[in-house]
This record gives sequence, C-alpha cells and structure tokens, in this order.
Amino acid sequence: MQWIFRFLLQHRTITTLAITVMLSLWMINAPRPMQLSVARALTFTVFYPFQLVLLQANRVRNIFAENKRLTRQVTALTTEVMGLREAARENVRLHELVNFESTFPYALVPARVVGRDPAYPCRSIVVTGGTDKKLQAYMPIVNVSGVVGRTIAVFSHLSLVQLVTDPSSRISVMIARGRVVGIFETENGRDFFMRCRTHADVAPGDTVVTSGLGGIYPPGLLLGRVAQITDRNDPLFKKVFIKPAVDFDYLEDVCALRLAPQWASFRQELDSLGRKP
Amino acid sequence: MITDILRWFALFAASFVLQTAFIQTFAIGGVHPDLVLIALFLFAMRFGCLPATIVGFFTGLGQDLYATQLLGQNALGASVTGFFIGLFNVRVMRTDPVFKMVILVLAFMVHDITVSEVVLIKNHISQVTLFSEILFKTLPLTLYSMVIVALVYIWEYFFKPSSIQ
Repeated sequence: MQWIFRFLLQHRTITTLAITVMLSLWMINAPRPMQLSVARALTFTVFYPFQLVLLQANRVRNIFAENKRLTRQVTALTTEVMGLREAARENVRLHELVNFESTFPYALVPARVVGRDPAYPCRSIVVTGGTDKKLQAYMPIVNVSGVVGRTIAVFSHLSLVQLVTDPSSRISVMIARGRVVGIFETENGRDFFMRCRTHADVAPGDTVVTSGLGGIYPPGLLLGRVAQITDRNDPLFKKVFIKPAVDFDYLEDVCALRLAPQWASFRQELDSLGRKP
Repeated sequence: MITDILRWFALFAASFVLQTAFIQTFAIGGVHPDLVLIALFLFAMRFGCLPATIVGFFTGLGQDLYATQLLGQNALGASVTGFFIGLFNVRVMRTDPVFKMVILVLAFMVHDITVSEVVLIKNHISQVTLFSEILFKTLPLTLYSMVIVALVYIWEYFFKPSSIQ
C-alpha cells in the first residue's frame, strides 16, 4: 500500500492531471440529472462566494443596462416633448389666426413663411400658396398683428412678398384719431415714419392704419403706433416716427387678403387710362 | 505567501466575474478575450504544472457551472491547458516574450481543441467543424488575448522590473 502512496507522491503532477481528467470525464459522461445535482451542490458550496459576487456584478451590469435604456428613453421623450411644445405653439398661433379670420371682413388665404431674405433687416419673404390658391401680384399680406407687406411675384405654389421694411415700399396711411393721411415709408428698414403738416393733430401713441388709398391695402388695417414726432428746422412738415405692430423678425404664419376683384378692376381702369392717347 | 495567494485569488475572481458578466463590454467585432485562460496562463507560467492543473480544473469547473454546456468540459480543457502551460514555467526555463506568446497560442489551441473535441464526440458531430472552430473562433480570440498578455508583460517590464528577475 505504501508503495502506491510513494508512487503517487513521486508522480504527483501526472497523478493530479489524471485525477482532474478522470473527474472531468466522469462529469461529462454523467447523466443529466446527476450533472445538475453536482452543479447545484458545487454552486452552493465551493462556488458560493463567486455566486454572491456574480449576483452583485449582474446587478451592477443590469443597472448600467437600465441606465443606458433610460437615457435612450429620456432622449426620445425629450425630442417628443419638444415636438409637442412646437405643435402647441403652432396650435396657439393657428387659433389666433382662426379668430382673426372670423373677425376680419376680408377673404383670407392662410400661408406659411418658407423663405426669408437673408439681409438684415429682412426685405422680402417667400410664402406658401401661389396661383394654386388664386393669389395674384399686389395682394396685401397681413398677420394677427397687422400689415406685413404685399405679394410682388406669384408662382404656382409660392409667392414672393415685399415687406413694409423694404425702403422701396410705400403705403398710404392714416392716423386713426386725427384722420391725418400720409405715406408710411422707411429709409433703412428699421425706422418707419410718415410726414404730415406741422399743425396736424398727431400725438405719440396714436394708432396708424392704412387709409385705403393706393388700391392695394383696404382701409383700416393696423400698421403701428406713433412713437415719436420731430419737427426740426422744417416750418411746414413734421416727421412722425411709427413703431410697426408686426415683429418682422418672427414671421411664421401670414394671410393674404384676396382682394383681387377690386384690385383687378382698379388696375384695368388704370390700364385703360394709360392706353388712352 | 498569503499575500501572493490572496493576490492570485483576487485575479482569478476578477477575471472570472469579468468573463462571466461583462465580457461583451470588451468585445471588438464580436471577438472577446478569454480572461480566465489568460489568468491561468500567467499563473501556470509562474507556478508550474501541479498548481496550474488544480487551479485550471476549478476555474474550468466554475465556468461550467455558469454555462449552459456540458458539466466538466471546461474543467477538462482548463486542467489540461494548465498542465501544458506549466511545463514551460519560469522555474523550468527562462523564456523570452516571443516564446511566451507562442506558448500562449498553443495553450489556447490545446484548450479549444480539448473543449471542442468533447462537444463533437459527445454530440456525434463531424470533426470537420473543429477546423472552422479553430480558424474562426480560437484564432481571433487568441490574438485578442495575446494583446492583453503582451500589455501585462509590458507593464511588468516597465513598471515592475524586480518581478521579471
């Protein structure tokens, strides 16, 4: 018996390898239920500390995975919330437009701003709607605040609008309180003014509306309020500075006033006058 | 001595946990290293056949418990591999880094051939699949593991000059 132990001790490396190999082969060839019971026994004895560590590690891994999933979800929800907020803002704007349309005596064609003149101040915009919505050149464009400008070129689905900020734009206006008529104009697109006689009844805060003269804008459309009056070195006229009611930096939804019949007949009249020898 | 044992135990425990729970984090193009086998390689190179065979058996058994495979196949593979690497340990011969890398490649081959053979024989699958298994699974895994072992030796060489004596 002793020689066996001596032999095993002498060849302990090979013996260990043989034992481990035999144990492994026994486990491999053992029936499945026995494999499971051995695995269960080992899991709850020798490998129990590892089991605990692995459990914690898996929890940590799950926390990381959940964190990643939640981050993705938060990003998606934030994007959705942003979209919904934008939709809510649009809803408010459109509600205002609907109210505006219901209280406005003219036929309105809603249009959305899709392009802007890159120069500052902006002088023209491109809006949706063209001949497809029966728009024509020289139709007034307004929004809920007041007069925006007029169409100057109409294409099939888009229209080019000249804003009142364009220095070449002129609008016949009237001080609503004193019925003083003048020409609304600008030299730089930022400062708007009209000239009127020195003795005219104009005061800061007076409302300025379109006069209806000129054939494009109907009377009574709001343009702005009198901001300042200067009469420097001019005995005849004073300069009335007007703050426009429309914020031209934030134009999104506008409406075209479908006044084509009046304008068309007026233009035909003008054309016929022009053709007379 | 106790510090050494604890250190190696911690290394095996860490590699075991990482291999079992987080290995996909280290995967590059679906290829991940075998951290337990790397730890076994480092251990066997240091301590020789006998400890490496025993440790290999238990680490393999641990892997078997957490894999849905045959119980004992990794134990067999790891104990044989531990014995094989132990034959070339630093007490027997002084090996240069290139030779160590060759042993590492051979060790991975021995391990994967042993484990695959068990599976093939047990499930009566054609031996032809062994070749593709080695070509498409073992070699990429070995290359990835080689990089990690190389980093370990570089770290030892540059930051622990006393340990390579």
